[in-house]
Amino acid sequence: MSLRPWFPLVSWSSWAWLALLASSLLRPLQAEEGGEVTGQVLFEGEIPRPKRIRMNADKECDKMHGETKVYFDNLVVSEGRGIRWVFVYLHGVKGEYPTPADPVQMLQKGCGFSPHVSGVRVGQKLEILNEDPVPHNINCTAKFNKPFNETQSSGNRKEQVFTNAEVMVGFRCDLHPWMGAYCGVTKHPFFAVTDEKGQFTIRNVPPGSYTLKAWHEELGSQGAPVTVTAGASQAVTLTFKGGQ
Amino acid sequence: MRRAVAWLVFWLVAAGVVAAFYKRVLWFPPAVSEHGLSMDSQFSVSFLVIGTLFVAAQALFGYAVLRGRGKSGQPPSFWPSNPRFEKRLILAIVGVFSMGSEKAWANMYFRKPSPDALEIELTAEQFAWNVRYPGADGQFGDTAPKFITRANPIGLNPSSRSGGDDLVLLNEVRVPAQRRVRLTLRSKDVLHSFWVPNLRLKQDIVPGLAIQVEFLATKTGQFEIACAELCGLGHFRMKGTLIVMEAQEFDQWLEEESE
Repeated sequence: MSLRPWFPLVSWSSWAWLALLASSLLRPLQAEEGGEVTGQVLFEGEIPRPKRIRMNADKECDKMHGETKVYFDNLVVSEGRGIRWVFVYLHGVKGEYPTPADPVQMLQKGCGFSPHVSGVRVGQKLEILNEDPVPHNINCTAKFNKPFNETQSSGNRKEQVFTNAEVMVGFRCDLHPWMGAYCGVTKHPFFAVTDEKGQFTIRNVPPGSYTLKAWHEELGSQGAPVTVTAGASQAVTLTFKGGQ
Repeated sequence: MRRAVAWLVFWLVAAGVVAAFYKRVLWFPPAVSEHGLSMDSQFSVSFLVIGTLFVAAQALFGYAVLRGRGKSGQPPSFWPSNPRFEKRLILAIVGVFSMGSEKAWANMYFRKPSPDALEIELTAEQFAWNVRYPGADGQFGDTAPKFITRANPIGLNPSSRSGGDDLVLLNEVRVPAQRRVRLTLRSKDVLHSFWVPNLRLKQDIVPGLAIQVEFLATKTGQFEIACAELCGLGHFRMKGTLIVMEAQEFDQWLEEESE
C-alpha cells in the first residue's frame, strides 16, 4: 500500500497536533498555570460617620425595615480601615475568555440595590429583579453602552447585556433617590469587589505584567503595577485618602 | 310613562348633586392655612354669584321656550340689545370679583416677608422632595452641584461653616402650627410644582430660580404634598407629607434631629 503525499494532513495524529497548537494559543490559561492577585484597599484620614437613610420618605419602604436603621453604602469603612465596595480589576489583559452562560444578579430589595457593586462580563446577562412589593425604577447611566431608564414594577425581571467594556455603569432608582448601584463591565474575568474588610482576591491570572486598578464611587480611581507569576500570590495594598 | 321616569331621574340626580355640594361631600379637602380660608370664602362668593347668574339665565331661557311653545305661525319677539346695560353689568361683575380676589391674592403673593418666619428650603428632583432646615445657627450652608452624591442630595459643601448643622430630610416637611413658614423652592432638574391641597398652595418650581412662598398653617395633622407638574416617569410617586405640629413639639423634634 502506497501512501499519498497529503496523508499527514488527514491522519488523526496531525489533527490532534494542530488542535493542541491552536488551543495553546487561543485557550485561556488553566488554573494551575495562573497566579493570584490579592490585597486590601485602605482608607486614610478620619473615618466618616455612616449616614442614615431616612426610609420614612416612602412609608412602604420604612415598613420593610421596622426598627432597623439603614445606612448609606456610598463609603463603608471598617474598623481596620478597609474600604468596602471597591471594584478592583486588571488592566492590560490580553486574550479571549469565554463568556459565562449564567447571569449576574442585581436585586432591588428592601428599597436598596443588592449588591451595591458588582461586575459583569461583556456579553454576559445582567439580571435585575425587583423583589419588593413597591415599584422601583432602573435608571442606567451608561456612557459607553446604551443607557436606559425603565419602570420596574414589583416582581419584574429586567435582563440587560452590555456590549462594551465600561468601568463603571451606574444604576439608580429615581423613585427612591437613596438607591444606587454600580456594575463594572469587563472583557475578562479578572476583577473583584472588596469585602467588608476591604480585602479582595483575583484568581487564575495568566502570568504577566498588569496594572491593578481600583475604583470607588466617592474616592475615585487609582492603579498600581503588578507582576503575576504562575502559581504565586501577589499581595497589593492600595490606599485612598478621604476628606478631600 | 317613559317621560315621567325620565323626569324623575332628572330631578333625583339634580337633588343628589345639590345635596352633595350642600353637605360638602363633593368639596375641597379642609383648608388648614390662613390664606386658604380667605381663598375658600372668595371661592364661595364666586360660586354663589356665578351660580345665581347661571340659574337666572337658565330660568329666563326656559321661560322663553315655554312662552313661545305652540306659536309656530307667529314671528318671535326679540328684546333689543342694550349695550350700555351690558357694559355696566360686566364692569360691575369684574369689579366685585377683582376687589374681593385681589385681597386674597395680594395677601399671599405681595405680602412683605415676615422677619420671624421659619425658613425651609425645598429642592425638588425627579422624583422626590429634599427638605432642608438651617439648623441652630439659622443660616443655610453653601451648596454646589459638584458635591451632589446620593448621600448628599442637595450638594451641601462639606467645608461650609454654616452647613454643618443643616438638617436635610426627604419627602417630609414638618412645620409648627400658627407660625409663618417661608419656603424657598428650587429644582435640581426639571419643572415641578409644589402642591398641598389642604394649604391651598400650589407653586411651580423652575430650575435655576429660587421661588419663595409663605404660609401659616392653622391646624395640626398630616397632609399630602403632591407634584402638580408632570415631571417624568415617576411623577405619580412624587409625593411627600406635610406634618403640622404644635410649636413646642416641633421645637423638640428639631432639636432631636439636629443632634
